[in-house]
Amino acid sequence: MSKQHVKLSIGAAIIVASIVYLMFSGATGSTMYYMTVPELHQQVASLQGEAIRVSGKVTADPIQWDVRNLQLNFTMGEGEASVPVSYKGVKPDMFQTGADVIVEGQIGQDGTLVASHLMTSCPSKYEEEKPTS
Amino acid sequence: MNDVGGAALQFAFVAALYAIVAALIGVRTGRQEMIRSAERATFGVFALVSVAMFTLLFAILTHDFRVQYVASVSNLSMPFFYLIASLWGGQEGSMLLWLWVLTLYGAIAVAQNLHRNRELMPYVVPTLMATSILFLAILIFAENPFHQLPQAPLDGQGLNPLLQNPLMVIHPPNLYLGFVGFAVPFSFAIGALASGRLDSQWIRSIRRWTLIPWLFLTVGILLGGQWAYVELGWGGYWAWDPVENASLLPWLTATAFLHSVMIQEKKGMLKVWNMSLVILTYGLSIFGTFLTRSGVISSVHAFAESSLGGYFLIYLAIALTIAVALLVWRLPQLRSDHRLESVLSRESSFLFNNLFFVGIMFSVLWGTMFPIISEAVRGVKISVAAPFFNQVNVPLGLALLLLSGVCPLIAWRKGSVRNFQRNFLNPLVVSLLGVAVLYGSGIRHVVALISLSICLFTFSTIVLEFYRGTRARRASMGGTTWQAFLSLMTRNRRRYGGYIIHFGVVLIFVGITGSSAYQIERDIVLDPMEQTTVGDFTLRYETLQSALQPTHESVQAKVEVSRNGRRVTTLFPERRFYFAQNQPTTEVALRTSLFEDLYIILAGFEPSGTATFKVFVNPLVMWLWLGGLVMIFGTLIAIWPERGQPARIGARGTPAVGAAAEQG
Repeated sequence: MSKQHVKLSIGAAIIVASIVYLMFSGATGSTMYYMTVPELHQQVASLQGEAIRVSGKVTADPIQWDVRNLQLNFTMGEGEASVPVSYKGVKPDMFQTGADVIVEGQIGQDGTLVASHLMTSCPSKYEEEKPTS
Repeated sequence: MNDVGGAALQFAFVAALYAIVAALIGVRTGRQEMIRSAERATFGVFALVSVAMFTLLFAILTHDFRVQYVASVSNLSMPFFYLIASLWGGQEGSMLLWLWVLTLYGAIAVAQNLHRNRELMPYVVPTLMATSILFLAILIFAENPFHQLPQAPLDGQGLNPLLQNPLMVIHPPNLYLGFVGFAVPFSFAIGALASGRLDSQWIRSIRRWTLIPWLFLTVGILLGGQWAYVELGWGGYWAWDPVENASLLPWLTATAFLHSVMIQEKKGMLKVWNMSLVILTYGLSIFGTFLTRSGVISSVHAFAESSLGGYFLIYLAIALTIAVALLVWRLPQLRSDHRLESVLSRESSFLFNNLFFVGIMFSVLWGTMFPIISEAVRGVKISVAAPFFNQVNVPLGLALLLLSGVCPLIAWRKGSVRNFQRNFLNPLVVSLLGVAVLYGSGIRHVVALISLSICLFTFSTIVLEFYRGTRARRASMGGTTWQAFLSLMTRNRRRYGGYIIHFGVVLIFVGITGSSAYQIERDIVLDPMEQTTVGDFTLRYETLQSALQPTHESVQAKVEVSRNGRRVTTLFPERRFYFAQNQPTTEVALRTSLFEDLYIILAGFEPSGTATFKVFVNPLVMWLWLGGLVMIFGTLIAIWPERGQPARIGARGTPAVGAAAEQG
């Protein structure tokens, strides 16, 4: 290997190392446990304070929407399991009973999922249920 | 009528299989007529798929709701424009469009090469047809677009209102034209590997075949961002969502290839690397389609979950295994003609640029796949959010932008200190002065200052290049500065087109910097005739009006906007409720200008008339879209055939192109 090749390899190695470093340091700061509502239900105690991302459906329980304070309270569930969610912000377009939602946030003291982000899982999901008639 | 569509797809499947077998037998036995026959079969596949696509379009336009697909994406009240768009508004139809574009590209590529690249074609044809078979198999066995309902409903469900936006009509076809297009360079790479014709001829043949899909993909990604911005109402244009990432992955490797291929053309180096990039780009475009279509990774805007995953994964595994095996087999013939001579040379800076592109690609892939990887390794699904992508990609992106300024100014083979002083002193001074001015005007955001200084630096190196080139040309040929400038551009389209693309990228970086560092976001609650200030703007909420439309009910707020006591405009943020889809949507009210966008969403209202708004002030977003236009312009200049050369895609490099490339 010539001297130039050594230098070049060092340059390339520095770039690769810094990319790998960025990937790992970035990953430690912004990871989020991703789970469904039943999974959340099982481990709710151990998850306090952890950043979590939960997917489920808006249940038939009444949805409380306080327009003045942009406060949205609802219950999300899947199967038998359910969890109360409290979200402050704008209600997404497709949010309604039965909608698939993804909630990011933390479990609070009282077991309520305090959401920092609320997404309805289909702004551009192209298809609703297929007509079956 | 609909049986015709289904039958056409089945015949196309048979024809595609035939083309593969005939081409391979032809090349094995040396029977040219078999290869010719295989090539004719590719035209047949295109014709048959066209029949299928027009049958579906006809069913949509004639409201044939017996067809399940037609009933689920269109209805009687939709205007003609959106009826056309509903052809690709759902899973099956968009797959059919994907396939149609693929067979169209395939037919063009075959037609262009009836008298050229003859050794490659017996392998190019099967590769193209194999990709078509993947989509034909899906359309025939899993997602039949012509599936009939036992009884036709009276009206269809109609296209999702969020998709009823002109941007959404042109965004998907652009993405497909981009994604699908990479199948052609891939086929030629396989052709070169399998036939052993590994000189740079195949690289020249696919030059435009790479640039054109790249352009479509670039435009598609930008249009997607713009659609998200004006339609989804969360105030941003990019969220690192898996579906967005899927479109970015092949773009990154294709961009890397567009750069490194120049080194191969001029120096005969990086052959294995380029081959790998072509294979990777194709693999990622299939993988991206798999990600968006299979529902493996939950995404805010994924397609309906489906069982398509298996088809894609099996195909991808087979295709990549064959490609890698061929590559390994030909490794001894892919030696570099030259060796790198200096760390500070144009060659090595291209190499570093490629490392960054591929590094960004890996980090985005890693972040996107993180939930699956962590589940496999640790048994828990862990996802990484937008902060991860930003943390990793902001420094890498800025490094890349800096390289795009540095790269063209370093000499080939070996740079020198003198060369550095001559080329970098002025841009460096400009960028430092610029930062001083920005700091003086109150900008304290460190990352923004770094980013803008790099933007200024790169911009000045581009200006310097144009200035020097024009001056040299004027000295040699006389005439006015303007004539010299035009002659410079027309003689070196690829090089100066490239600089213009870089300029577009600089504008996009300015836009991203402004809108991410200085975005203002406020939630406000106002009674009628009450006012408040957001940023420099004073907003006065006047009235709420509701109206009944044929397809939806709308509620509009009237907001008077003024700045420093002077009236700016009146905005009407709106909420709609679509009856057919039983779905509310928000219509963003946007006041856009070169320096900032005022972006208002009507979040909710009470019977009393009290309304809640979400207001964003997004600085410099306009620069993103302007940058996109500049990139399109630059790419068109680079693609445009040299004078006196027929406008053919992938035309063989003439001496004129060769000479221009020599300088670029």
